[in-house]
Amino acid sequence: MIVYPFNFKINDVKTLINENQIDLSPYRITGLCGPIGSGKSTFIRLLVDYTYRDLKIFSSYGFSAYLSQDLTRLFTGNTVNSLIALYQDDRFEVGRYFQIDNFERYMQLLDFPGKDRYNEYLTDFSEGERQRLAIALTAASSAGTVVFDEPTTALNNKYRQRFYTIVKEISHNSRIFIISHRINDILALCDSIIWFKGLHIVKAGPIESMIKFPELVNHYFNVKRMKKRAELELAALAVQEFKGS
Amino acid sequence: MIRLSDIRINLSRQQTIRITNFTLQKNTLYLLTGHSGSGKTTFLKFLGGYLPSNKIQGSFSLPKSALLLQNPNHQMITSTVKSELQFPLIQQGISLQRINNKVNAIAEFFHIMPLLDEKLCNLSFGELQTVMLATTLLIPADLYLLDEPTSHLDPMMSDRMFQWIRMEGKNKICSWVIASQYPDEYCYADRVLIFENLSLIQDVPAGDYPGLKESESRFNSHETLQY
Repeated sequence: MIVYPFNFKINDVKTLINENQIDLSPYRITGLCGPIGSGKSTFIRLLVDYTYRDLKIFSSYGFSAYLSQDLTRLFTGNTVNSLIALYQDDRFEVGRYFQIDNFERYMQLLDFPGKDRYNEYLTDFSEGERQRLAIALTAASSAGTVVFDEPTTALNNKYRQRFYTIVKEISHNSRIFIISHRINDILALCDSIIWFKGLHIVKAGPIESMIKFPELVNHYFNVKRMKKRAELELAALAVQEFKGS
Repeated sequence: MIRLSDIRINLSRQQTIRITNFTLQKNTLYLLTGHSGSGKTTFLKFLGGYLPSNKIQGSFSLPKSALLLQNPNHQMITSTVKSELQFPLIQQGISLQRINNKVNAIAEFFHIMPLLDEKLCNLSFGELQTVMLATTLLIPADLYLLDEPTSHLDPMMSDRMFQWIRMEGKNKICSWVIASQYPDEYCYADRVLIFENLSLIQDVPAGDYPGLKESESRFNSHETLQY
């Protein structure tokens, strides 16, 4: 996939700009990184929303599965069973791609509460449970392009690890884009990064070189927090050693 | 200081949240952590007085609180960033001059000055979460309850939130309970609360938490991912 240079007017005052051609063909999992409001989600909308395909910003389009940041619209008024029925309905494009066996496997891996709750409204589930369901639905859609927009915000470490397992599995057949403010997600999964700042695509490339890019380093590696954490962990270690002796 | 003893919150016939013994101390920042579905959000709503009394067993009295919801879309009241920030202060009957001073100070701190005239519906999810966080922090309260406030914030903005809390802590007497899926945020906290299986199982000083976290990660690293 190639991303061509573009200027996309978001509204009267905001324009998302890419000045260079980006060749993503050597990569499978690309992290979209940058501060809040830098244009990451808008970039993804240009890829997955059919109304923008005429702009020809990407060299290829196809069926995309998109896990949105805000799951409210998907989940309001639905149960797990009603969503499964919707995803299996072949009147919609997703119905022709959705793999129920994979969905059930991912639900099991993510420890989603049992089938006795499949008829409960999703408003009665926790945000973490809803996010795990959304990951299983998205991953089981067997789309050519899969986008996870802030997929781990309500997941603890255990489920984040399992999410990584799922993404690595589906990356064999799908191109993956991941937006995350957590550097652990990016380091665990991505082979490439696109860096956004102030509605500009500033730089893109393989993770090995991008991880040394000063803007990215300053953004993700919060020295103050790391120092405080190191102090506390050293103190805990000293207490443990003292008790041991 | 608030004491909670033998509180039961009935979520459904099968599900009950239990708080056996907990004392909420003044001027303390609590980090509330635990698996998803373990009861963190319900606990915050209970502390904020947002649960119907017929679901709660036990006696307690709660302080004046401000709650930030997990999803910022569920908290919008007005239409623009500026009016949203002004809203809680207008409710307090504060003069417009003071309102604008407070709004400008917090907007500058959280780098949202250029967004003041924007409509809320035009903001990115992260920008919206920042605005809703700033709005909640402007509500005069004795207890601030923040449900996953940093979930869509970048590391710089998360750091600014904790800086603001520390600054405010020096000026007024209040407590903070912050639910988080990011255990590394314990380094900002005074104490860590751990929820498991719908019960508050630990209330430990933040300095004791790394040891607990260590044993948890050892457990996680041994689990098999075959399925």
